[in-house]
Amino acid sequence: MSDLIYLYAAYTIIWAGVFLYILKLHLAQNKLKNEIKMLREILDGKKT
Amino acid sequence: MMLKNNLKFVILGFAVILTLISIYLALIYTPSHETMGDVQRIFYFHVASAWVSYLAFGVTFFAGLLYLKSKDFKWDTIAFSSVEIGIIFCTLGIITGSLWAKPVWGVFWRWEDFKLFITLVLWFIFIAYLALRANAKSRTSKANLSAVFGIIGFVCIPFSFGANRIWQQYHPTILASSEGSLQASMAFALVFAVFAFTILYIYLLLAKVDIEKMKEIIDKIKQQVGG
Repeated sequence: MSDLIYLYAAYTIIWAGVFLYILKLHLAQNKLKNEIKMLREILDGKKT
Repeated sequence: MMLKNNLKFVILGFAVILTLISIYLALIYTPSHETMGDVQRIFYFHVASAWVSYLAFGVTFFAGLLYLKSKDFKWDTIAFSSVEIGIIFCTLGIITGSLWAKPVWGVFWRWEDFKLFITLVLWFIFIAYLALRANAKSRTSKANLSAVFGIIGFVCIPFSFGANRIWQQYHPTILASSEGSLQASMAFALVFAVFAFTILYIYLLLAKVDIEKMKEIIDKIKQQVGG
């Protein structure tokens, strides 16, 4: 039974790591998309 | 752009389905190992993580070579994006390996095992890659340093992969020897986990490259706004 702790720990670390990294990428993508949109609006405002 | 986003989400969906199946295969479909028991089930995703780290650093190596040849920054972006994913999976491989080692060897780590040592060296080289890159001033020096470091780091991979086959110390060799070969169901679960993680890697690389491209677009717009 005690050995199963290592199995649970390994699976938890792998899937938490993968999930958190996907989440990090997704949040970064959304943040950058919004930033690009905002900067393009500023740039368009400057041109007109 | 829309088509590319849709393709990315299709790949992510495919990767999620494959990983769920591979978890089922690793935890339920395969039998317990005769000597190690259930703790051996760590190995399916430990090997898959190690494979993705080798693949990611391999992509960095080839993208670095292509950058040095063409001086096209797109190759540098791919190389850098792949390093980040490689480090994450190398870290997961090292941690899960240690968690497997404790109940089987009695210790988390054996410094005298060359495979473990060279894998840690590989991890440090690519951590240094990120540190060097962060401190380089121009885009060109960033890309040149990264390409050279990526090539140096890749040299460790054949040693990391082959150390247990050459020196036969503590780390088990599963795929090469007939005496240590796996049961058919275990081999199937292992190949499936490796395939699932490869698809996951493709999604992560596409997503990370997109992020780096967006950062470049922001830098260009900021220059235009500032100018």
